[in-house]
Amino acid sequence: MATEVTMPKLAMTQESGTILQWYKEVGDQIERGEPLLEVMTNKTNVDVEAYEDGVLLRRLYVVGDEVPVLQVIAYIGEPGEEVRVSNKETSGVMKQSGASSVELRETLESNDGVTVPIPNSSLQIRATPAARALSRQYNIDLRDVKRAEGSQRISRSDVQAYATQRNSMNTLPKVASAVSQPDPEEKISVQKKMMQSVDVNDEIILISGVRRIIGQRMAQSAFSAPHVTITAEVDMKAANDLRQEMTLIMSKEQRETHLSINIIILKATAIALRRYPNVNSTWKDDSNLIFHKHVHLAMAVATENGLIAPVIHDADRQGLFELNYFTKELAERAKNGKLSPQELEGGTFTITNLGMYGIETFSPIINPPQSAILGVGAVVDKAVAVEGEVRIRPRMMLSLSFDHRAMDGSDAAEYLRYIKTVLEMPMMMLG
Amino acid sequence: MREITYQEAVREAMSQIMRKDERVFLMGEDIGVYGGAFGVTRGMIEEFGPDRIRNTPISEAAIAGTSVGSALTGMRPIMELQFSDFVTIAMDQLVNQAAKIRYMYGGRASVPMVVRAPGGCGTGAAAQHSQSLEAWVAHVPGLKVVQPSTAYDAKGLLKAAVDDDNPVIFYEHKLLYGTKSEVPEELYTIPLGVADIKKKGKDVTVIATSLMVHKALEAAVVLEKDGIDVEVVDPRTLVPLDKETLIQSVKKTGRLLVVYEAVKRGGFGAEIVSSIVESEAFDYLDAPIKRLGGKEIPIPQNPELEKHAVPQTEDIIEAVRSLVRER
Repeated sequence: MATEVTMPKLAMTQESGTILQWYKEVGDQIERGEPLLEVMTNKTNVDVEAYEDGVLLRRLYVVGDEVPVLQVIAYIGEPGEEVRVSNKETSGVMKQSGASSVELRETLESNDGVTVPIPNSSLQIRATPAARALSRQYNIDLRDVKRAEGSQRISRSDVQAYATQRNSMNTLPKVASAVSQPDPEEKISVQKKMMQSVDVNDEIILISGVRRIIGQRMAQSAFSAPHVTITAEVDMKAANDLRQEMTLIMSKEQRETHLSINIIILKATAIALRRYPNVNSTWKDDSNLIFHKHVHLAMAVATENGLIAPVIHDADRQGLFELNYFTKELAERAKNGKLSPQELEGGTFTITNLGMYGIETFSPIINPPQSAILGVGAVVDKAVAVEGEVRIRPRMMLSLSFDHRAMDGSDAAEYLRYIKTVLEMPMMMLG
Repeated sequence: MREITYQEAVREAMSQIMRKDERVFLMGEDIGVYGGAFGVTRGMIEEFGPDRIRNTPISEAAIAGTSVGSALTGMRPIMELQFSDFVTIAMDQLVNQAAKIRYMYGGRASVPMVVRAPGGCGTGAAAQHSQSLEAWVAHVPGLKVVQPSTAYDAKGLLKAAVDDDNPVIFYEHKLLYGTKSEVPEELYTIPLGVADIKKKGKDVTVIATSLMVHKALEAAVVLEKDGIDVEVVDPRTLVPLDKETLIQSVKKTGRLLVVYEAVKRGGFGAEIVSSIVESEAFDYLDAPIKRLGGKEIPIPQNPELEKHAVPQTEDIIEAVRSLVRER
């Protein structure tokens, strides 16, 4: 009797996982505890291990498919054993990487309970030679291309349509609706022009994996949450002094991790959030606004594979040294892709820092479903008026983007002012 | 320009060639006063006399053997088969002698002869007088195969066939004899191995031979009203085959229908399809290739059944529509 392998639920809020790679081919022998496939959930990659000894009999999804948790994704059993797939096992597909799974699903539906081959490469997808030639030219995975209705195979025009659509999504500015409704002909000609603008020397990369998820989340946030960004300039003299003093009292062990000014900003932000729960909130499904009691601070980390935001749980309750050590360690693991799904979950607010690039202000996009994000700029020496005199002081700009659905400008301004106050009088952190 | 029939074009070509070239003569059954089974040589014996318009016994083997022999001695015979079906009787002479001699003698001998063969169905002549066996001869290296579809092509290609130093099987279609087209009065040559685009189009390529060229053109007129722009290509000669023109057409349209009257199974259309699939046109195909050919049955004598045995205009229309629709 074949055993089902299901999409694991690795975190409480996880609804689906995306298959990144299969380590085993159909027919391969597999031992209990051996990695079977790699799954991506909320931007972490996790190996899924086999729970049984046996032979991999079937794989129901291909790389790139997003599958709901607990959905059957493969079968392990005795060599030669027949596997019967029923409708309901594949009916809950959330989103396929492309035509392959659509085709698979349709085939399965039309041959209920009959073993069918599963396309796990573009080559197994029905497409005309002309469609294939064009997909090679544009570097398009045929599994992403939809067939025209009533057609049995992907044709050249389907690939062309996909390429045009992909191209317009990537590069066409959203001017059409803002200015005036252009007639469809004109729109098509614009898209055609965009296609022509792809030079033969241009590199075209399939949008997949983390990049795809970042893209979806950013677009979701930018186009659903009305963003407002406010900025404030903070005098960092006191915070700098505190950092130096703290360094002096650090133990030998603690000194192994350099205490950065970021930690003081992080701590100030977290303390402020405890005071302003309306900023530490989630806009949920247009029906509930959740004020979080805990401050779980997500911090944006740039990695080779793209942006990732590990979460420092209860950041407001941690001491500076503790926070310093933990933050460094978390960032390190984020860069190496070694985070567990839990470490990416449950953030209530995000802090992002472009100061190291000399950036002073920017308008960060909120990390959904959170309601606000703080952008930290560079600490720069500036000439400022202090008590009627011009002084050179270390100054830093903070940019707070907030979801205007969840709070008003005055709420956000009060919150930002409080961070500014704490940073300028760090003693308040003791309170 | 004046219009003459296909039959007149063939006769005119032969007469004009014979006036210029003493070596050319005709052999066949009842081709003298009777004018041959379809009257193609009618009147020629009056001009050229019985020495050059030679009636033969009823033996295609003998006619073919005599043609091979006389060709080897420097004559340029044109032999007529009453019906192309009877090529079966001439086969040994054509395949084992005519096609081989030039090769086996290292090019020191050649067999410049033409076999005129009225083929195809549609006259109620039944199974033994209605076949299209061009694939048989096209298979044999050393034989050239011509299938003109219009009076203009017939005259120019017949001139090229007679001028060629190799045996050429020249297929005429019984139903085409009465069709007319503009034909120049003077003698001209259409080189063997040059296809002709009978109608330019951009959506679907229909490669058709002989009578099917006309059915494809009829279909194209109907399809034009559907907004389907059909390109009709006539290879005109099967051997040598102008693959380049066929390939370029398919590269342009991405869709191909091949139509031929011969039995579909093993017919020359299969060779055309293979040539396309093997070529650079493969990467331009945007639909599975379709092929229309005769049913795998002997041609029935009943005229109504006969129509059903081979592709008709409606079949071509339907096939082209499905190529565009179903993809």
